[in-house]
Amino acid sequence: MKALTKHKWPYLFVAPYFLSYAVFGLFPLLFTLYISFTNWDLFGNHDFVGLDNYKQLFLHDTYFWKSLGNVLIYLVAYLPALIIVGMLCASLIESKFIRRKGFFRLGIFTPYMTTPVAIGIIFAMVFDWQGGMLNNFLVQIGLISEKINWMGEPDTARWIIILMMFWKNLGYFIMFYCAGMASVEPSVYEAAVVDGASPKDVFLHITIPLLKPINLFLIITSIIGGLQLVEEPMLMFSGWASGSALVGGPEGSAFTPIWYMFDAAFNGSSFKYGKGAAIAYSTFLFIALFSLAGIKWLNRKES
Amino acid sequence: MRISKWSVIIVLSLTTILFLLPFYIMVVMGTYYSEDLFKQLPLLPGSYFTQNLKTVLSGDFLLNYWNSFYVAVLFTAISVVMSSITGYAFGKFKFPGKRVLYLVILCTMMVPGQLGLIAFVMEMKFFHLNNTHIPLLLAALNNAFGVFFMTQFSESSVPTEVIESARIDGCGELTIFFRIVTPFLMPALSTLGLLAFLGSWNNYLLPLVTLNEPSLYTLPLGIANLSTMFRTDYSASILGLTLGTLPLIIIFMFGSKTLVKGLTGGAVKG
Repeated sequence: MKALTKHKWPYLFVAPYFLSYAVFGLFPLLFTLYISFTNWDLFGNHDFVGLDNYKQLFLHDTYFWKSLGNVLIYLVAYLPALIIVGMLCASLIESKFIRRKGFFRLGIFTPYMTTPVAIGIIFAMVFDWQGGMLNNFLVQIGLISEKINWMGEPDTARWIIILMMFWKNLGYFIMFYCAGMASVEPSVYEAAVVDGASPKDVFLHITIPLLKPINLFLIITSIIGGLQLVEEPMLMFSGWASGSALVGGPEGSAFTPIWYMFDAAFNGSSFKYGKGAAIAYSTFLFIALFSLAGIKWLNRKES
Repeated sequence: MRISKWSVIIVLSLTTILFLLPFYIMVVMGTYYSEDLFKQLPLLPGSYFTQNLKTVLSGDFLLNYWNSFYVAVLFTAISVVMSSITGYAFGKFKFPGKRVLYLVILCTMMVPGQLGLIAFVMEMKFFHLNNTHIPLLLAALNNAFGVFFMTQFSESSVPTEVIESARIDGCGELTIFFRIVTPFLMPALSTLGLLAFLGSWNNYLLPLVTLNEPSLYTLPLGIANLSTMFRTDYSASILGLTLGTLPLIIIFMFGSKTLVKGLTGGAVKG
């Protein structure tokens, strides 16, 4: 009892967090898990059906696999690009040549601040078939004579999303790399230069190893965030531009698992909460799997 | 291999321009008459700005703006206070069960936000909180990243001697936290505040499923809805997008230095 009163304050300080988490975080989490084992919907069904939802998803639902495959394709395409271009840009910004570092940081960070809704809509307008800026531009300079239906073909639609995510996230990566580079003692670099290291050597043998913890953080959070992608593709194909009001894009090439969850649980006429919950938990399963694989892979390279 | 100053500046400038281009296009498109938008390339500002502004303001736009603003301010305040109090306890106190509790928080950081969404919406329905802004604020109570960030920061940047001498002088623990510890946490608090504000301002999915009344909509919802309100008036809707992004740019213009400093001192120290 004495120990408890002695430790009264730290417990009081952390109590609000854990109490509110229990009510508004943990409870919904567990209850969603329960819902995923039922056929819960708007019409009053809520029978326990065991693993039926999951069986349906894993064995028969090509849409689910397609949406999962999509986000993995995007991730594999834009994550390495973000890491490489991000580190290069950050080392240029942090180099001794640049005085107005804030301007470049902010300029490249601007897309990250923009509402995902706006990003989806802007890209829809730029790549629109009939009136889009890109087609207009290419026709005007005479590069193409017939307008290209960028958002109507699965391959180009995927590339647009990859480009969109790269554009959006590069500033975020650069922000973290800049922070990491700024925290390195300048004497480390100076010593290397005195020893005759070229900028390439410095980048490869000093900068990259020093950024390892930041890379770990960025890669793991990108996997977690990337598999949950939803707003940007959803708004891109919401019918803002002409003729693109397709659910999931052409042949479902822009469909993502969380978009699928949203459609199943809150949209249309079905309100299949059970199915939606199962999609959410299946996606989480893959997020955990890929994050763990990522951590393992990064740690093995170190040893 | 020699790298000259000007080549660095040119490469960076080109990259920055490329990244600001879609943004510039958005701003310019908002100043055109909608039908002209698709006729030629809108590269220079048009003359239809005031008309478009009138169209945008004729709906619930200002109300949506206000909703977003006060929700984001409250969200930021709650998030910052809760994260710093919890993080301070983990960073500066020794108590039984601390490691386990901290591990729990780290684990919740890995859990994706959408996972409990379905039951959360049902829970809100049960408490009759749908069609209020309260569901949007609840996530601020347990910002796991915030706690992690503040724990790291208070561990390294709040001197233990200062806390102890205040205690010897008879200061209460709450006074110590608000009067003495908080100033030390300022750089981290502003970084966290910026990120929290950004998160709340851009939140789309949760308001979409908890709010049904246009007068309660936050900005992202309002903007997405502009498309159905003014079916063909693209330029007015795009002006709405521009106006919606403006406050964030202003905040980050003043905060980007703090952001980098906060990140350096905190979670990801290299």
